[in-house]
Amino acid sequence: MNAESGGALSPDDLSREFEAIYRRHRQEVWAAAYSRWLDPDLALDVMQETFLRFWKQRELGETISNPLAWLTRVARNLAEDYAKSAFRRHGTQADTTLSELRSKSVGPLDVLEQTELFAHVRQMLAELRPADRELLTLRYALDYTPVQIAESLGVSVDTIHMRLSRARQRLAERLSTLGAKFPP
Amino acid sequence: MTPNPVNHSAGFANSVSIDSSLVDADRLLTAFFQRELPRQWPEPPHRPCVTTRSASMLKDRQAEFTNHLPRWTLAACLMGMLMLGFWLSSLMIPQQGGIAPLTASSPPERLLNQAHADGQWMRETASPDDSNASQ
Repeated sequence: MNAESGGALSPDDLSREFEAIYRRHRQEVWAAAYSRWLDPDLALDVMQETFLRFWKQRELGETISNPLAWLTRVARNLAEDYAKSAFRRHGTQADTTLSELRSKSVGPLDVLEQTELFAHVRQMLAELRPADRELLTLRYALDYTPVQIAESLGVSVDTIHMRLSRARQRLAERLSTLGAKFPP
Repeated sequence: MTPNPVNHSAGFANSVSIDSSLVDADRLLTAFFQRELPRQWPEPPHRPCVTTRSASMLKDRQAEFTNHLPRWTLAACLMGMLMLGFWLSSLMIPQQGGIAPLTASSPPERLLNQAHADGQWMRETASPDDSNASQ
C-alpha cells in the first residue's frame, strides 16, 4: 500500500508509476480533503492539486519514501490553506452546496426528505473533529475495514472501533431528538 | 443507492419520518457518503502539463521543421533583405547633402536665380561706350 516512490526513472516509467499511484491512492487523498470541508467538489480540486505537486516532485527526481503519507499530508495542508483563502472568507457558495438539492431519480418529496435527513448528517459531521470525519469518510465512502483505516491513519484498531461507535451513537441521538425511531 | 420509501403522512415540521432502512445510523452514513463520493474520477493531473516528454517532443518538432525548410528559401530571404538594405541606404544619401533633393520647384528656381545673376553681371560689366553707341 505504501510502496516507495523514488529514484531517477525514464519519462515513460515515471508516467506509469505516477498513474499507478494515482489510481491506488486517489480515493484516500480525496477523503483527506473531503473530511476537512465536507465539500466533494473542493476535495476533487485539492486532490488534483496534491497529485500535481507529487508529479512535480517526482519529475525533479525527489524520492518519496511513503507516497500515501506524503499525499495525505499535502492534501490536508492544501485544505487548510483553503480556509485562509479570500474566496472561502468572502466568496459565494454554489446553490447546490447550500440547498443540498442534488439531482436524483426520485420524486421531489423523497428528495426533500432525504435532503433534510442528509442535512442533519452533514451538520453532525461538521461538529466532529476533522480526524473523526476522515475516519468516517474512509469507513463509509471508501468502505475501508477498521484494520485498513488503522493502517492508513496510523492509529490502533481499537481506537478506530471506539471512534466509529461514538460517531454512530452521536448521529443516532441527534436523529432520535428529531423524532426518528431507531431499532434497538 | 436506491431511493427509500418515505412516510409522507408524518410531515416535516416537528419530526423527520424516515424508512427503517435509513433509521440505522450505519446505513444512513453509508447512504450519505456514497452520495458524496465522486461519480467519476478525473484523469491524472500531469497530462495537460508540459512534461519532460512533451518538451523533448517539442524540440524534436522544431528540429524537424528546421531540417526540412529548403535552404534556397533561406538564401532568397537573406538576399532580399540585403537588397532592401541597399535600397533604403540609397534613399538616405541625398538627405546627407550628396545630391540636391529632387523637388518640383528646384530646377526653375535655380534657373531664375542663374538668369538674375547673369543679368546683373552684364549690367555691371557693360562699358559707357556701348551705351552711348546704342543711343
